[in-house]
This record gives sequence, structure tokens and C-alpha cells, in this order.
Amino acid sequence: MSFTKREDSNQKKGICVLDASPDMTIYCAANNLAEIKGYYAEFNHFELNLSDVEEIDSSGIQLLLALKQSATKDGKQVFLNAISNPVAEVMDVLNIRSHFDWIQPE
Amino acid sequence: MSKPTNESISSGNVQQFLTFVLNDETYGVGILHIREIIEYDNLTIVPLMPDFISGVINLRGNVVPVINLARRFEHQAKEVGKRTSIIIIDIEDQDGESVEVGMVVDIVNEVIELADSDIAAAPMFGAKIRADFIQGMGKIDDKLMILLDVNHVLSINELSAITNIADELTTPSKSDTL
Amino acid sequence: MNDETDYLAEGRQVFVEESSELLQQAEYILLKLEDEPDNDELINDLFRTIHTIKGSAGLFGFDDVVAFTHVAESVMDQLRDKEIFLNDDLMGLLLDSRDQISQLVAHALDNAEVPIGDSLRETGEELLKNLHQYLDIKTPNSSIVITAESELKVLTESEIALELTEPESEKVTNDYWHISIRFNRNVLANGMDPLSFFRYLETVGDIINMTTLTTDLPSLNDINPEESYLGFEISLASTASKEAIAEVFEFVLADCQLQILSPRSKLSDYTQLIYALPEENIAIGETLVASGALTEDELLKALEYQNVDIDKQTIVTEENITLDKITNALMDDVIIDKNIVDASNVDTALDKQKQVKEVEQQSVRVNAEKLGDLINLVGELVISSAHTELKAKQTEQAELLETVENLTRLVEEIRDATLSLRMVQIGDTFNRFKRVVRDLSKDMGKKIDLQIVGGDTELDKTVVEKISDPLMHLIRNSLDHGIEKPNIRTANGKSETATVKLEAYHDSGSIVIEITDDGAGLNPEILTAKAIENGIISANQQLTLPEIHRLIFAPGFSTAKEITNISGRGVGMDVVNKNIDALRGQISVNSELGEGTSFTIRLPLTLAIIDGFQVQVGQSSYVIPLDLVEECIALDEQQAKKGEYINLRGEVMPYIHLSEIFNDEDSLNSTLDKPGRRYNIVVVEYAGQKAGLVVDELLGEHQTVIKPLGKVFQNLKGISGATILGSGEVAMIIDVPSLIRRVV
Repeated sequence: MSFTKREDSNQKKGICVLDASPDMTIYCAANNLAEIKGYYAEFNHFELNLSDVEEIDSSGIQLLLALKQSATKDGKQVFLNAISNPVAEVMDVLNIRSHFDWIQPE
Repeated sequence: MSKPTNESISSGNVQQFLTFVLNDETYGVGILHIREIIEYDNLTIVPLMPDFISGVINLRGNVVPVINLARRFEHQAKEVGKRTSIIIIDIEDQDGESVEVGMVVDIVNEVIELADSDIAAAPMFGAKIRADFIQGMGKIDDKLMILLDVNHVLSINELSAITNIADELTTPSKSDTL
Repeated sequence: MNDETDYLAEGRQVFVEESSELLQQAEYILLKLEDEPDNDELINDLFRTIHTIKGSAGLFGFDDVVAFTHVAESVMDQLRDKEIFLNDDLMGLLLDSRDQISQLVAHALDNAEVPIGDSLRETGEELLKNLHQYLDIKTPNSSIVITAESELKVLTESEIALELTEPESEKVTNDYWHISIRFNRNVLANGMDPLSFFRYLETVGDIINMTTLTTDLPSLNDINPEESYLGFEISLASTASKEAIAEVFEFVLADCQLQILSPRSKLSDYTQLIYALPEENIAIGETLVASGALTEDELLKALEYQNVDIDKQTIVTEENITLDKITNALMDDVIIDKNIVDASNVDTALDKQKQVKEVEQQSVRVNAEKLGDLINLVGELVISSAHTELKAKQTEQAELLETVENLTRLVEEIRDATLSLRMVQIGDTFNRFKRVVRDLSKDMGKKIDLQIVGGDTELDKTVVEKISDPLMHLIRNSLDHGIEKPNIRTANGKSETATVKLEAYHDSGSIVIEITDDGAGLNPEILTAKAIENGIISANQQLTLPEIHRLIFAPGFSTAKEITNISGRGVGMDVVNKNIDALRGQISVNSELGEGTSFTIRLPLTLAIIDGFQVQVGQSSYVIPLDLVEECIALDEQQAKKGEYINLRGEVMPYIHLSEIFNDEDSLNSTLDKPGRRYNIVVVEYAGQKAGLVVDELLGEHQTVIKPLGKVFQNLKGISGATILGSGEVAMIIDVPSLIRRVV
């Protein structure tokens, strides 16, 4: 329900493209984390599409930040491509866009 | 002497008075003014004061003036006897401050209740004491009793003013300041 | 809400006391600066006192005070930065400004609702104009020189509250609020999202910068997705009060560590913040720089303030107090209004100020009334102990006597210790005269050097309060009549600058205050002529020189040829004399024509308890203040009958029978009863005059707690009060001065 791996993810290149679910709040946090953790073990390169996210709270942001931070540490890569308005709004409030690497500069 | 409770004041038009005897005459004084009653003892004379000021006593560390009521009424004062007492009265001076003053009486009797209907206005004349000393006349068993207006009897203003005159009279004429 | 109101009233009272102290201090410093204009420490102190007054006044919304004080403070700041320097003009201006502040404070406390009066306002405007000149000249390009009004907005109450502790500390240039917030782990689980608070925060101001700290964020493997790990550093542009900002976080207060620094906070506050935050100091410091809260330079300085580290806790605790107050208020379902905010502000500010004060002086402020009550109680204890001793002696039980003796000794120690609580140094009172002397000498065109000696001499506060006015009068008198103009002085071979010396010292249980000048001295001929003219003495009366000098204390005596506004209108020295009498003190005058005049005031150290000498007259006991008793002599009947004077070792001394003075029949009769009896004379001395008081018996020394006789006896002469003896009986205290005046 949460992070869905796209079929076009290129296994060879080890790129995992994930579509985030509409709900990135505390209510799905445990679930979201479990799924990300699963992919994280498997891939070294991630592209996150957040354009469908309808609701995101601190826990969701925190998850993204944790992913990015762990990746940096482990030499993996995490890119964001598209983000929805709610995500943009939160990122602006917290001024954290610069924490992430972007595929398409906004 | 316990203080009156609120009920006794507010229950209708009944007032309580302490009655006492002075020169064989019975007087009443409103109980609300009374702080306590003590034995006549250990009185210290204050020199140069008029004779209606008996002196001062030590009332729990405070120096309290004592008035000889008989002399204040310009009557002869009786010898101090076994039953001579000092009634300590609480009055307000002209500045509104509470002042304790004692008054010497021959015998303290009892507390009585008088309905408003038992209290007549002070007579214009014919009383044995100054008219403004009388708050009213209490009627008990067809006998009339003077109810004292302590604010006038013990008026600090008047007591100290008289002191002034007495002082001037007894002080030998002063020489020049130097 | 009553608590809050009381609270404000209490804070206000503290403000009343503190502002008057500070203003006095400011005056003192200014006068000192006149002699040492380069003393940086004094300039710093001056700035600090004025700054503190401004701060406290701001807490109470005394805008007039704040507006004016702010400008004065800015000028002092320039002084501190050595951009301007003290000269006579500026000194006068600053002194006048101090007076203006004092007036404004008084006005604010009396009737803050009423606008200030025209004259006060005009004076203020004039002073402000002059003050601005100093600001304008020295900082032509500076944007600091704004009208007082617009500056006011920047100075929010809470800012001042924070500034109070170390006003001298350097301030940061940051114009924004800085908010540091660390949410507890469980905040999300408690159903709250930090984000919502930040959105709300935007309703009270503009978030200029937000830094999200991920330092605490664990790795994906370790993270608990339902816990909160983020920290936030926020710059906020807002005109809201600190409380209003804190209120934003009211629902999360229990679940976070919140710190709010006001715009232009002190650097040391940032130091404290850096040390208080969980992250590495350097890291957090860099964050602060990155977010614009601090400049690089400021960060370096802030980190240098390591020694401030000991105070790490203060800011945190302070924060908690403030926030707790809000939380409590909310719990009680009370709408937060300005009062609460003010009260909590006042609380914190005053608390902090108190803390600082207590550390400085190691002293506690006690309500004077409480102290008075304690002294009264100790008085009772002394009486009671005397009574106990008396009774114990009657039992003749050695053990009991020993115990009681111990008790008595302890009671005496308690008495002394208690009385010492109310002892204050007279120096503050003396220092107040510096200003008077300065202003008056300028007005009169005289040059006067005021010397103060023994300012650390202590005496009872109640005595100090009552001696201030008489001293003021004596000094004014000395300046007006005593000191000559410079040209006359030089013509007489004196130095142009006159000296007035104020000196205090202890002498056998009394305090002595001397006011000495090297002025013209009292002219006996003029004094005598004046006294005859005013009918104080008769033309043929022969007086000794000391007697002539004392004429100046006679009612209605005035030597000023014209009435000046400086010393009074013929009421003056006699009032001084009366005031000192009322304190059971005495004043004497000594003067040498052409050389100067010296007044000596001798006062009891305290008004509550004195050592008395107990005597018996007839049936009554009397007490004579021991410090007025010279000696006791015996007199036989023959001598006594000779008249009103006796020969005391070649000196003619008048005497009186107390029994006659007091019209004591018992005593008079006993005198008649016993022919050949001996008389006891107590020799008393007051104001250089000796007299004998004839009594029936001498009973010895007696520690005397003075009791007022009350209004009934207010016109009684010859008796100054009453005391309660060990036996519980009342004894009269003899008013020696009035008796001496009667016989001399």
C-alpha cells in the first residue's frame, strides 16, 4: 500500500524507483519504514516519486531524512524526483529541500 | 468577657448592654465597645494629669490610659474597694484609629438585652451627667438607666485637650527659652 | 486572577524600592564622576543603573519612563564607548535627566493613567532635545537615533526581562527572535505534530530562517518511526511578546525543550543556549551562524564566554518558570491576558534581579513592618525576662538563679542582634547631600567641597529616616549663611573653596554626627541684636557665648537678612532642634567668628530600647535615660533648703524636686514627715546644661523598652514615654530636655 516499486525499475543498474503512497503520516509510518527497509537492503540507488503524497507529517519527513542520511553513510544514493504540493509545503516550512538530491531541480 | 456573636446583634432590634454601678447609680454601656474587664490593680499615676485620669496600666505589654469615670462626670469618686473594676473600652480617635481606654467603675453587674422599644431618647436636661454623654435611657422594670455614649465620655480629643489646659495650669510659668 | 493582581502589586512594590535605590545610586555615581570623569567603571555602573530602571519600568508599561530613559541611556552608552566625553554641560544634563526620570517614575507610580503634566512634559522635551544633540553629533550616520517612540516598539517587555541580568554584556546584532526547540521522542505518539506548531508560529511572525537538525536521527535500521528525532532552530521576525511566542507551543510545552531569545539578546545568552543544547557546541554554533542568528565573530566571542557556563542552568530554569505559569493558567481554564504575561515577566525579571542582588550583597530584603514586629516582640521578651529574673531572685534558689541568669544573657544577645538588623549605614543619607551641595553652590556662586567621613557608621533605620531632614536643613543653612562667596573668602585670606565636612562616629552607645564648615562663623553681636529685636531675650540679659550661639535654635529666630529660597523663613533651626529632641537626641553648636561653625548632633542608636536609670518619687517609679545621667550625689536637708541652686564642685547647678514638678503629694508629705532626711540628686546633662533632679530613692539601672503613652497624653510635658518594669508595672520616662529647659 505504501511504497510501490515500479516495474520499470532497472534491476541491472540497481535503481529502485519508488512511488510513495498518499499517506505519509504517523499512521502509516511503521508500515512505510518496514517497506523502505526492505528495498534498502536490496538496492543501492533510489528514486523517490512523491507526487501522489496527499498527507505528510513530521514522521514522514523524518523517514525520508533517515533514508537519505543512512544512504549517505552507506554510500548509496537517494534522489527525489517529483513531489506533491503538500510535500513541498512541508519541505519549505522545515527548509529541508537542500537535504535531498533531486533528479529534476525544482 | 466573651465577645458577642453576630447573631445577638442582628437578631431583630435587641441590643446588649453591660451594666455597672458608679456612685450607687446603675449605667449601661453597649457591649460592642467592650474589650474586656479587669481588676483594679497596679495602676501607675501619670503626673500633671487632671484628676479624672487615674493613670495607666500595663495591658499585655501595652500602656493603656485609665479614666476615673466618677471624676469625669464631675462626681465624687468612691474609695477603691474589692469590687472596683476597670472596663477596657475600644474607641476610635479622630483619625479613625482604634484606641483602648480603661474606665474605673465601682461594681460590674451583668449583661442585659434591651429592645429598641425599651430605649428612650436622652432627656434634654435634669440628668446627673452631661447630656452628650448619654446615648439613651434604658428601661428595665420601670426603672430608667443611663446608657453611656462612650465615644463622647472617652473622646480622645477632649481628654487630651483637657490635659493641655491642666498642664498649663500646673506648669510654673516658663522663663524665656534661654 | 487575584493572585496575579497581588503579584503585580508585589512586583510594583519591589519596583518602587528598587527604582528609588537605583536613582539614588545614579546620582551618587554622577557626582563621583564629576571628580573622576575618566573612571570607566563608574560609567559602566551608571549605564547599568539607568538600564535597569528602564527595564523594570518597561515591565510595568511605564512608557513615559522608558521613552525618556532610553534616550538618556543611549547617551550613556556613547559615553561608555568613548564617543563622547563628560563635560560640565553633559554632567548637568545627565543630572537633570536623572531628576526627570525620578519625576516620571513618581508620576507613573502615583497615577499612571493620567498623562504627565505640562511642566514635566516640557522639561522632558527640553532635556530630550539636549540629549539628542549628543547622539546626533556623535553618530551622524547611525540609524540608532530614532525618536524615542519608535524605539519603544523594539523594546518589548520580555526583551527587557531577559536583559536585566547582565545589562553590560555585549549584544548580538541579530534583529530577530531566536527559537530553539527540541521535541521529546514521544511527541508524535502523543498525537502532536511539530509541523503544526510551526505553521501556527507563522501567525505571530515571519519565519526568517528555519534549520532542521537531524543530528539525533538514527539510521533506518535503528529508527522508531513513531518517535520524533528532529531539532529546530528558528529565526523569527515578530513584534509579539515572548509569552505570545511561547504560547504558540503551549500544548507541547510538556513534550519539548523550548528556548526563546529575544532580538538583540546578549551574546552571553547565546553562549548559554549553545551550551544548553544537546548537540555539539561547535555544530550548533555553526548552525546559528548559518541561520543568521549569529555572525562568525559573535560565535567566536560566544564560545569564549566559557566561564559563563556555570550559569547553564539559569536560562533553562527561567524559561521553565515562565512557561509553567502559562501552562498552569491554561489548566485553570483562564484566558491568557496581558496581566498574566506581565506578571510572569515581572516575576522572572525581578527574580533574576533579586538573585543577582543577593549574590552581590548576600542580603535579604525584609519587610520593615515585619522587622518592627520582631523588635516589639523582643521588647516584650526583655520585659518578661526582667520579670522572670525578679521572681527568681525572690525564690533564692541558686540553680534557678543560674538558669535565669543564662536566659537573661541570651535575651540580651537576642536584643542586640535584633536591633542590629535594623541598623543601616548613614553613608547613603550623607551621599544624598552631595547633590544638594553641588546644586546649591552652583546657584549661589560659591565653591564648596563636601567631605564625608564615617559613612559606614551604622544606626537604626528609623533614626536615619528622621534625621535626614534636620541634616538637610543644617547643611542648607551652613551653605546659605555660613559659607562666604569666593571673593570674600580670598579677601579674608581663606582658600576660595570652602569645606563642609559631614562626619559620623559612634561614641559610648550614641551616634554623633558633626557638620563642620570653615565659613564665616556665628557673629555673637548680630545674634544678640537679632534676639533682642525678636523679643527672644531682653536687652539687658547677659549671656555667655555658648548661650548666644544657642539662640539660633530659639523659635522665630532667623539671621538671614532677606528670605532666600535656600534656608527657610525663620522656621528652621528651632524645628531642627525639635526634631532632634523627638529622637531623644541633642544638638549643640560651636562657632568661632571668621573660622567656621560646627554642629554636633548626638543621637541614640535606636528608638526602641534604651538603658534607663530608675528612681522613686513618692509611690511612683520613674526612668531617666541613662545617657543623660551624669552622676548621683547626696544632698543634706540644710543644703536642700538653701534654694534652687547647689554648688557642684564650684559649678552653680540648678536643681528641682521631681515631687514638686510632678506635684506628687505622697512624696511631698513624706518630705515633711522626715526631718533631717537626705536627698538624692540625679545630675543630668542635656545640650551642655546640667541640672539636678531631686528624687526619693535611687533604684539603679534598668533596661527600658520604650512604650508610647498614646494620644490621651499627647500634650503632657515632662514625660516622654512609658516603660514596663520587671514587675509588670508601668513607669514614666522623664523628658530631661523639657525639664532642663524649665529650670534653666
